[in-house]
Amino acid sequence: MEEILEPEQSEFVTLISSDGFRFVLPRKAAMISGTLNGMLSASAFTEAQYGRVHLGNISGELLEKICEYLCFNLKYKDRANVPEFEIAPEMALELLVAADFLDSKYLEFCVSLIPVFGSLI
Amino acid sequence: MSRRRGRTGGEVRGPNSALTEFLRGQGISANEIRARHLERQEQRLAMEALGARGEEQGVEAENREEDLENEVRARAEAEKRRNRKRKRGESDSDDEDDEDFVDTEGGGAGGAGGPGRLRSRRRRQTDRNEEELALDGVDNCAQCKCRFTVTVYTTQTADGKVLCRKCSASSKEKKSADAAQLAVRRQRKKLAEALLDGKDLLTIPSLQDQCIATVVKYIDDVEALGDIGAINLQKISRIMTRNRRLTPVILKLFLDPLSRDIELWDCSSLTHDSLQSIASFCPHLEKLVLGMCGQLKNENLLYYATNLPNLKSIYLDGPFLINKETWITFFEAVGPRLEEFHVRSTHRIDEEVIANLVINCPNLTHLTFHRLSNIKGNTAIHLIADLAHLEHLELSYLGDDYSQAGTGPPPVRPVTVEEEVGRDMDETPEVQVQPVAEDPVDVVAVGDPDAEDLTVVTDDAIVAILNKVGSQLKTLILDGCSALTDRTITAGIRPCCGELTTLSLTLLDQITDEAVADLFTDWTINPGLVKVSFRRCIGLGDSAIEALVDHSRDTLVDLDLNSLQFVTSRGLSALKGTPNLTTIDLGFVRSTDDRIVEALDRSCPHLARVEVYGAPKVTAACRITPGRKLIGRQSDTI
Repeated sequence: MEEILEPEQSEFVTLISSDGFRFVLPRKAAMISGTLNGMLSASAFTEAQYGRVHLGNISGELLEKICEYLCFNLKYKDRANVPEFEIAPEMALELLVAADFLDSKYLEFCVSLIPVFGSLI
Repeated sequence: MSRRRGRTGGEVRGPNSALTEFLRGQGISANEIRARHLERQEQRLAMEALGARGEEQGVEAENREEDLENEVRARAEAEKRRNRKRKRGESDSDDEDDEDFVDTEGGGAGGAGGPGRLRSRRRRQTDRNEEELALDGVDNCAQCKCRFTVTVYTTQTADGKVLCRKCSASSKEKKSADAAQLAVRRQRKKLAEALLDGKDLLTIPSLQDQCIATVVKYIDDVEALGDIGAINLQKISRIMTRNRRLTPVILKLFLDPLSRDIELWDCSSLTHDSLQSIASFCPHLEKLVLGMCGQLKNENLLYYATNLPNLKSIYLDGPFLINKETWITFFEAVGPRLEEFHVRSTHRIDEEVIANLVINCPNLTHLTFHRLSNIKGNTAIHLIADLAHLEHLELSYLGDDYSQAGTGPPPVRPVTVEEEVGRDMDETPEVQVQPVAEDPVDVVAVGDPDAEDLTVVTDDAIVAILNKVGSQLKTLILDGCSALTDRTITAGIRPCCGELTTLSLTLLDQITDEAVADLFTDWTINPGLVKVSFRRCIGLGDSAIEALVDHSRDTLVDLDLNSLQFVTSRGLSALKGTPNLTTIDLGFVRSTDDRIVEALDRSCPHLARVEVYGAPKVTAACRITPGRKLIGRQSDTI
């Protein structure tokens, strides 16, 4: 049995892909994702207690790219001259679906469209 | 050792490395490289000797010239001799050579053609640019006129002159400074573009958006988009439209048999066959948006009517191939199931078509007529009052007045001297993007009895419509109905429109400040407007704005006050009290200044976009929260 860490004590969290790859990344980076934030913040969840999240629907390859993005976002937040984040074309569509799952910001997106398109249709 | 072996071709050679073999095949020999090196060494020594002598003897200007000339000659002589030696197969390097070189400096004669030979010797190995250089010769720098040795690394100017090391270094610096300046300019341009597009460069785009950008980039290689979700599909479709790349092949990616709504804002590249395929691939469509659908044919529209049994909403922009009979047949076929009908920019819709629409489609909740030039009178507009479920009504730029968009003369109105001066000031090149330019402008001949008959949207018609359906209307757009007067407001909007949230009265130049102020004063039946456009209602002033803010203080989100010249800082200051204001257009409101914009910035927590085209008092000094867009300042030049 692993030692239970208080969520605020552990500085890093572990993300585990469907094929068993583990990615350890700063908690701050993981919190950028809406879904991970929800899983890691609510202390009732085992994810929050152990600081580990099993992502059964995301393969290691995709999760690696996602972790890369999270760290990229953390590093370049509020900075000018942000370099381009490279995405291989063959994984773009799968990554899009995974990103959708991890980042549920669409509510904001839809609300932002109301003033733009509300009058149109 | 190997050097000797390599030089004489006929010798028996031991095993060579692949590299040696390759170099030999390419005509590159270690000896030649060595010879060049020695040459350079000699030159350096000679120059040092010269320099040393100069120091010893003091500088004698007239002698030095001569010495240098001799020096060149001597060097060429030495070169010639060495070449000769090489031909004989003798050792090409010894100290003697160097000494010889120094010694001969006094009385070298002849030696013409030295550099020429040098050049021919090097030609084999140098590329064409370097061929031009008199390599390993001595030349004057084009800039500082000093004498220096030309090497492979010497830089040349555009006109073929050579630069010394110092000058070329400084020119490189200049080049890099130019490049930096160019990069800054490019960055500034990028920022300006992003500002106009409403994008934010400071926040990092979400992973979804980055993925979508990649998908769009490689859209030609995509076989199927798969199950990526309706919103993502819509985003990709919009980007394709914006890039004007929606072709029949790409259209197939968006046609999902289960989809209930599809929006294609640019159908100009779609043939009528692919437009037909929309209905065959997606039989469950309820909502269909076809923008710029000039290729939509009569049979396409009829096919939609018969093959889309659930069609409730249709938006067609520019369907000018659809004739009158087809419209009528379409309305008969869709009948009461049509709830939303938006049609824009066609001259084939006349009063008979409208009458048929009203009779056949009584359940319409949303109706848009925009730029329909073939409507000749106001009888058809009166019929709209019979649509009992109407919630959204747009009647904009109707009639023949607007058939030639943007070609009409500017509006005739009295212009004072101060205004004229102000305008001249504003028409600097910086204000090229004037948002008003796209609006059609036409003289409204109010007093002309002939024009009176052709007026499409009249006070009577609007008052009649509002008296019947006004109580449920949520959106009322009457842009460009310039014949409307205060009566529409006092007898129509004020007593009837209790549910109204969006009101757009763009270009209604006859409505007055007092009428609008009266509308909003104690307008208790309406809880507040969300989106309001008084763009170019040039009669409005401070009282109207103050009354509007007083009435819709908590609800107002989007406000357009473009070209309201009589609004002063008093009216603009009132805007501070609107907590939900997000977008505001203060273009050509001349009294807008830094103070007003900064006050708005401070007091409106949701403010995202402020447009100030043609407001010369908004200067570069205006400070606005980062991330919010302030567009159209004169100082923001690219």
